[in-house]
Formats: sequence, C-alpha cells, structure tokens
Amino acid sequence: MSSPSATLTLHLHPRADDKTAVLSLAGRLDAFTQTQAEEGIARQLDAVPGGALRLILDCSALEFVSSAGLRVLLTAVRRLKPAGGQVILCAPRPAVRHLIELSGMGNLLRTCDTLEQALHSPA
Amino acid sequence: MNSVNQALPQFLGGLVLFFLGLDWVKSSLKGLASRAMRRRTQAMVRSPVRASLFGIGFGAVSQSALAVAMVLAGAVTTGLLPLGRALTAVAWANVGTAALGFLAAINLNMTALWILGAAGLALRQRRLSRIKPLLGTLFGIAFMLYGLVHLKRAAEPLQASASFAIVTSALSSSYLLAFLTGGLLRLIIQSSSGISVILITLCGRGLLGPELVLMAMAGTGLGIAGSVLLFGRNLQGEGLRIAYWQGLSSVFSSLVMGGWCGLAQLTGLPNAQQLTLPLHLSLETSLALVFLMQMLLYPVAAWLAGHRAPLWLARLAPEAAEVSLARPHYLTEGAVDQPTLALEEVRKEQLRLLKAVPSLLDRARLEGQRPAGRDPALLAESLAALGSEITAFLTEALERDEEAGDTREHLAALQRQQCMDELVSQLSLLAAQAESLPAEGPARQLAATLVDSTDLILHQLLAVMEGGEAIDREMLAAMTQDRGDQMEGLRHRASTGQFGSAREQASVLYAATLFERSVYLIRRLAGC
Repeated sequence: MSSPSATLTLHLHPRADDKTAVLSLAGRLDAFTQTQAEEGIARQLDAVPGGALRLILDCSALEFVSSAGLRVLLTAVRRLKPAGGQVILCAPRPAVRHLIELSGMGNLLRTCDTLEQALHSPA
Repeated sequence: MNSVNQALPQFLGGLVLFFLGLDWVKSSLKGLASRAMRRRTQAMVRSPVRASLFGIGFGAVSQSALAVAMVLAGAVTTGLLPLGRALTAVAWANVGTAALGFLAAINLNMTALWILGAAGLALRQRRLSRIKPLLGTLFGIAFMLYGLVHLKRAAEPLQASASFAIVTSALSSSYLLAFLTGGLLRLIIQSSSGISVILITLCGRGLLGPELVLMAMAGTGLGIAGSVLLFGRNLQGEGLRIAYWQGLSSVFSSLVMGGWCGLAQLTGLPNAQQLTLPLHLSLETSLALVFLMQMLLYPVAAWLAGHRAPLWLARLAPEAAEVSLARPHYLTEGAVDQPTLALEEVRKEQLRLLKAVPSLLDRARLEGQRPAGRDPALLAESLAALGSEITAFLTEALERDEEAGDTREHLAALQRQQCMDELVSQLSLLAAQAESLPAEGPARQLAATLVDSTDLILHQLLAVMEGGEAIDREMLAAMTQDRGDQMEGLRHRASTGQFGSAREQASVLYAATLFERSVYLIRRLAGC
C-alpha cells in the first residue's frame, strides 16, 4: 500500500455516565490508522466499569473513512450489540455519512447531528 | 495458361481446406481439457515411457504439440502431474505431429473422401453426440487430407507458372531467406507439420528444391519460438512454462537442423535428406523422415535438460501469487467418492476463494488506499479458474452421489459456487468501472464509496462463512437489507447530471447496478 498520507487523532473524553464511553476521531480512519482506532475504542470501552452500553464517536473532524476504517466501527457494534448496546456517530461529514448509508452500516448504528444530542439521546 | 488459371484456385482451395481441417481438429480437441480428461491423462502418463507414448499418439491425432501442452498444463496446474513429466509428453507430441508429413507421400483421394463422408454423416447423428470430439477430429483430418489432394493436383500445372518460378527462384537464392520464410510461415499459419506437409508436397511435384524445403522446415522451429514470445503473454503459470519449453526446444531443433543444412552446403557434407538416400525412398518420404528427425530433437532436448528443465522454467516464468490461487489446495481426487469429505473440502476451497475476492476491488480504491502488486485481470482469471475447478469437482461428486440418493447438500454447494462465480465477475466489472472514471470528481468519489461499501459487506460475509456466531449473520442481514430507495435516489442524482459528463453518469448508473447485484449475491451466499 502507498504511504499513509494523514493520521488519526483520538481524543478520549471523560466518562459521560455509568454506561457511556465517548471518543472524538479526527483525521483519517483507514487501513493505516485502523489498529490505533481499534485500540483507542477498546481502551475507552474497557474503562467503563461493568462494561459500556453506549459508544459515542464524535466524527465532526473525521475527514475520511475507508472500508478498513468502517470495520473498526463494525467491531465496536459487534461488541456492544449482544448486550443491547449501541454505537452512535455524531456529526459525520457528508462523505462519511454516505458511506455508512450505502454500506448498510446505517442499519447497525445511529447517527446524531451533535455530540449534545447524542449524549442526551435515550439509551 | 488455362491450366495454370485452373490450378491456382485449386491450389488456394486446397490450402484453405487443409487449414480448415486443422482448425477443426484443434477445436474438436478443446473439450479434452476437462477435469475428467485430465484425470485420465494422469493415469496415461504415469511413467516416462507412457508419457512419451501418450505424447506421440496425442500429437499425431491433434497435429498440435500446443494442444497437448494445454491439456497437460491444466493437469500440472491442479497438481495432478509433475511438470517434468508434462515436458516429456509435450516433447514427444512434436514427434507425433511428424506423422502428417508421411501423408504427403501416399495417395489420399479415396481415403479422404471415405473418412469425410463417414465422419460427416456420423456427426449429424444425435445418438453419437458423446463421441462428437472424436468424430470432429476425424472430420477435420479428412478435410486436411482432401485439401492435400487438391494441392497435389494443382502443383504440376503451377510448375509452369511464371509467378511461382519467381517466388521459388527468390527463395532458392538464399538459404537464410528460406530459413526465415519457414519461421515467418509458422508465425502466420501456426502449424509446423502443416507447413512441412505443404512444402513436401510442393517439393514432390518439383515446385521447390529439397534443400530449400529442408531450410524452410528448420526455420519453422524459429517461428514457434516467435509465437511463444508473441502470444505467451496471454498464458500464465504452468501453461506459460510449458510454452516456454516448447519455444526453447524449437530453437534448439531449428538451429541444429538449419545449421546442419547450411554446413552441408558450405562443406559438401551430406545433408539430412541425402543421408536417407541409401534407403531408396521417394523424395516426399525422405523429406518426411527429415521432418521426423527434426521433431525427434525435441525429446533429445528434454533428455539433455533432464531434471533441470523445471528449475530453469521456474526462473524464467516465476509463478505469481494470483496463479497459485487458481490451483485448488483442498480438493483431492479420493474425496469425490466420499460425500462428507468432498463437501468439507469444497467448503474449505470456497472459503479460500472468498478470502481472495476483496482483492478484486483494490484497483478501484482511491489514491493512497490502494495496495500495490496484484494484477487485477490475472486475479479475476485465477478466481474464475478456481471456481471452474470447484464446479467440476462438485459436478463429479454429485454424479457419484446421485446413486446414493441425497444430493441436497451437493446442490446447495453448487449453487453457492454459482453465486461466487457471478460475484467475482460482478466485482471485477465494478472495480473496472470505478477505475475508468477520472481521478477527481463526484463520479469517482461515488464509485469509490460503492467499492468501499462492497468491501465492508464482503468482510462481514467472510466472518459469517468462517463460522461466525449468530450476531455476525444478524449484522450481515441488516447490512444487506433492501436498499431500493437509496439506489433509486442515487439513480435520480445521476439522471439529473450531478456526476459530471454523460459518460460519467452512465458509469455511475452501471456501477450502482453492479453494486446492487453484488450485495444481493452476498446476501444469498450467507443464506440471509
């Protein structure tokens, strides 16, 4: 694969409540940054005592997502879904939103326009 | 003059009949590359002696060492036969093709007509459809013989033709020219034995001198090497290696025979045809014998190279990863008779195929996301070849299992394979369509999104097929739900010109259709 042209920045938010983990993603989520994102998400989910039921990802600064990047989200969905949990994406850019819709991921996770909306949405 | 005017169309007609017959023989033998034939071939070439006899026989009937090479390449690719054994058989197949040379020396008229009539009538009988390739081969041979009859009849009057005299005197002026003409003819006509028979026929009728014919026959070997260089790029894997072997052996035989003839001319030593004089043979038979000598140099080359040949060829034509993909890793001959084992092997092979499928999309990814290396056309070809192998294996297992009664699982596996084959073809088209769009612009962006979406769904399918849990299947079912509205919206955007030029819009529409179909196939494969 050609050299990575950009990086991913993860910002771990303080815990929102007992069952919610929040994370901001900025930059590119692709095959090059996949592992970094996976580890960041796992760390944030593990930090919730008794296991998180909601993962909120602030995607407002996420410029690009590839299929490899989407697989990270799919892994998170797979982890939370059996316990009735969910993944919520906040403010994805149009290109990211389009990919989520076309890939059918839209049927597996929720999208919100703002982080506030996501934090206050019913579990 | 009148007789020349009559002879020329007869000569041309004879040539056409001859080569039509040759084509007929080759196309009739194409069916022999089937899996069943490969298995029979494996049994037939178990030892070097049997491989040689098989090569001679098959070469004599097919009149094409290349046809033998292609049948054996399939067997080598699927691991049924070692490459060295295949090289032996191909080398001797060249000797078999020399049989045609002797036809020029005998009266063929009645024989040709009898075979033509009998094989032609038999071909029309539906009851004989099972032996159609054999009848087609006979029919083709009869056509070739009948063509030779006309060539012979036309040759004598042509001897008096001024144009022919100019051509033959030009050729006679230089041995090198005759040698190169032989090579050129072989490049155009693609049959050394065919060219040799015609040259021998013309020599027997006094149109060409024997030395000229010797040089032209020797030159045909160079033509074979030229063909391999020109057309070899369409081949791959074992087929390419065997073709290279044929090319190298041809250069060897060509240089030995051409060199001998040239040396004889310079030094006064006897040439190959003069060596046969004590046998008191007709000119045609002695030239046919020389052609046989030339063909015998192929097995000599194989003998000289010995076990080193496969190593050289591996260096000359290293196997690409895509080619190794075409070779089944799990299907074994013994499993065909054991339904449970056969199905297990098919399941593993299908999973192996499926794991390689996402790579079909690599070429269509956006700049910076594209893995380097794999040749997309070769990859698609290899996946299709592996698919054919699995289908043939399943069909054979199904036929055996039909007697036992329960064929449901075999049919399900067969249906799964059909889905996979179609998926491979749809994804190749989708990737090609996306790649063909201009690098920047909304059409390319959308195509890349479709490609990425397909890739994600494919990976989820893999998770399911690899024995994933219920949650994996549930997620795939959700991802592959009907997306008619979405696609309709996309088509509407395309029809309102949001994706650039008319060509780009058309590409987007086509890519959307391919994507929709691919998602449907993935859903079917998962049994959602």
